[in-house]
Amino acid sequence: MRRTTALVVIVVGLAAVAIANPASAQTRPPVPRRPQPTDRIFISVDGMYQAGSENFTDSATFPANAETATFNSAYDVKPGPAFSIAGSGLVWRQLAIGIGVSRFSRETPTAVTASIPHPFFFNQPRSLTEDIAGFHREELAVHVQARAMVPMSNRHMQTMVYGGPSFFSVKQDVLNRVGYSETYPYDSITPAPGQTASVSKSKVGFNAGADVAYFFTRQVGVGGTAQYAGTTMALSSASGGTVDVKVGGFQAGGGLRLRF
Amino acid sequence: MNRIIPAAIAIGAFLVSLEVGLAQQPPAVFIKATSVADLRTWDGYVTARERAGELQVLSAERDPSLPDRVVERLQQYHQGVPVWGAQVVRDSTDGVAESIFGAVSPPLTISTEPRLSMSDAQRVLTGDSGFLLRQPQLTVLTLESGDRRLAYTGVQSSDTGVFRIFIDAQTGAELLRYSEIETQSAIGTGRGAIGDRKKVSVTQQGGAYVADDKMRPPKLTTYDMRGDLPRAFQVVDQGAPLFASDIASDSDNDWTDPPTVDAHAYVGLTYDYYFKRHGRRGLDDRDRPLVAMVNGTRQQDWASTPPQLLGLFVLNAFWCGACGPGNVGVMYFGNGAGPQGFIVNGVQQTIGYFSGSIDIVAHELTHGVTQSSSGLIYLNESGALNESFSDIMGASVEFFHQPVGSGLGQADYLLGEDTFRGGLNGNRSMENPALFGDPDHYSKRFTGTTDNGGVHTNSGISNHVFYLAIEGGTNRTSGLAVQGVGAANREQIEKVFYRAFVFLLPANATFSNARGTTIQAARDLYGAGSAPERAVTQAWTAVGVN
Repeated sequence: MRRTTALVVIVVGLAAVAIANPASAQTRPPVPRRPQPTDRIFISVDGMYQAGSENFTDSATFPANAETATFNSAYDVKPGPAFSIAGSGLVWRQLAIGIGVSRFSRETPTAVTASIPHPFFFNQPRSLTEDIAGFHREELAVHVQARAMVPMSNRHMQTMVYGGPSFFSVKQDVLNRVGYSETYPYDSITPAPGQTASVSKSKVGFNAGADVAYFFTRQVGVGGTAQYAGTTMALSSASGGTVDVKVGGFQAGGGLRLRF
Repeated sequence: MNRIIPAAIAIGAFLVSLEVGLAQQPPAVFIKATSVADLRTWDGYVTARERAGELQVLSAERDPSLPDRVVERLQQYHQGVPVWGAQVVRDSTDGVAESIFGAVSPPLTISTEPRLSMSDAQRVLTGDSGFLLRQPQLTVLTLESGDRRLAYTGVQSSDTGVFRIFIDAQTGAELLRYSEIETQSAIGTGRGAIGDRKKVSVTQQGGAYVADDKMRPPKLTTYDMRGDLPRAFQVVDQGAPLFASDIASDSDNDWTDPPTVDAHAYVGLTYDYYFKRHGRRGLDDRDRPLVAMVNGTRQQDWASTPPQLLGLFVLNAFWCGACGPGNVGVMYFGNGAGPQGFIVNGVQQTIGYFSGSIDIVAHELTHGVTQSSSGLIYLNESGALNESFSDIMGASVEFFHQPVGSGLGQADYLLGEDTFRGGLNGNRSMENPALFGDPDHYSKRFTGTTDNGGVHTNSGISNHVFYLAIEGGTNRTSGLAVQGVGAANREQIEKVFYRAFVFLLPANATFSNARGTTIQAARDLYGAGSAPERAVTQAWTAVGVN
């Protein structure tokens, strides 16, 4: 959280520096006025790589064989490709307001460990470890951004820093009840399909990042962006409560840039 | 001609369907009769089919809440083959029907001649990785479509669960499969006689729980005589049937009757021992039902028990091989006399619940194993060996399930030490049989005629052999030393005695036979000159048996 706060401060600072006309300039010799942007609409379409949200774990208990069974699910949120499209419009001097959409979909292999009481004996639980493939996470985020253009001497280059709120919607496959099969004499158990569910949740987070573009022509170019967009949300837990899950993360990528 | 061809096809199809057992049969007859008019009609229908042999009485029970009623359960048969699930239940008073419910098939025409042999059916039902818990049985199965098929059914256990499977008796194709791990199985808890908390595998039935273990391969039922000694006597001595209402029950699955808790749990644990240690499936190695009976008397009522029954039903546990439903055998466990002291083998002791000692429970179950295997005659030396094998397996089960020690619920070489308390706990010692007046040497054997030639006395000789072969030591009479295999290797000696007593001994065995067969078993299992062979040989020599 500290790192993300620092990132916000940096981005906001950069934006402030980029936008402000320093007061001290009045005492200095006049400098040639940098060209003001004449384009007012900016569009970026990027292929991104999301470094991966933080893994998370969930655990639950349930009564079994006159004792309490426990299971723990460790969800490994793999890094992977994301897609992002954003557009912004200049509203004042070098300040633009924009909106972007990003989507991240990835498998979340899940390692399950369980302890299931023996039907005939107290305190002799059978243990189970199982890797479940096929669980997915899908993140869809809408980012509202204040974008500040950093003045550049090279007219082919364009740099923006931005930040703002993000509205995240997440769909995550989860294990609600571990499955196992057993047969006499029940001294061991083997994995079996458990009860799974797909839980969805929405929450507001934030985004902040920087974008550098090179325009081959007046309107078309390529660019790269690095941003952090994320939040922490409470997903339904197998225990009946909630489990805090970090959504989003650091993303970097590049793609097409258009300006009009 | 146009009419003849379809008719011929229809007749042909009908004949073919008869041949291969695919006949589309008329729908089932559902019987629900509670009014006088309906009862007259349906009672006549049921009686007529009963007379024709199509319905046969499966059981007749009295409901304790309506003791003047008899509930008959009738099973439908087609040419001697049961129709799966087709039953009629008739409740009557003095032969007059009060209600009739059921669903049966109308008279069937399906062939009862399977193309598949029983061995083929076993192979198909076993599958690639399973084994059969129940032998295949021929039946007529009604499919969801209403078709009826001649089918083999069996219960298969595999890594994926326990399933009842039906296969077409003509083609071997699978027709139906469902889990036999019945959802109403439940694990309850209870406290045994020594206050220990344990689990009991039971069945939920309506709003209550009954001591009917459906999780183990054999049917394991504990009957509660509820202090009704005349009834217990009738069941044991006069072959009276046990009813479903006799099964021990509890309302909340937290069982509070110690003898029931112990008997039900320990019979299961003894089955587990035989399965895990020796690969044996219960009494007859074919999962014959296990029946336990408790509470023939209440502990506090011991003094009012007729003297001739005191030694059998109160201060005793026994195996009755010909008792129980279908004569499968019953293990009976007396309740003892609580705090009342007795002089037992010259020792002042109290006698508690006989089911409260796991070695006693295993002892009685082992009598059933002996009955189904060597059949050791319960007289003189073979009788002593019979008793001894029960003691040996009793101690083995105790060491298998309990921690080693000398306290309550701990494993040692005393027998019945959790039941016989005070002075010397237990009623026999394998380590030192003389503690309870039993011989530790063949030269001291009882040669009289009481107790079937001293079967409970002379068992001390081979009991001591078992002890010496494991633990080693010196026989107090001969002074001969034995190098045992060590407690860590007790499994070896258990397997030696199991093989000898179950497979190698003849019914009229002598101690000398027992020496020969145990030495042979040790060679068979561990090789000539092995530590178990040496230990067993030395032990028999030490007790004077050659």
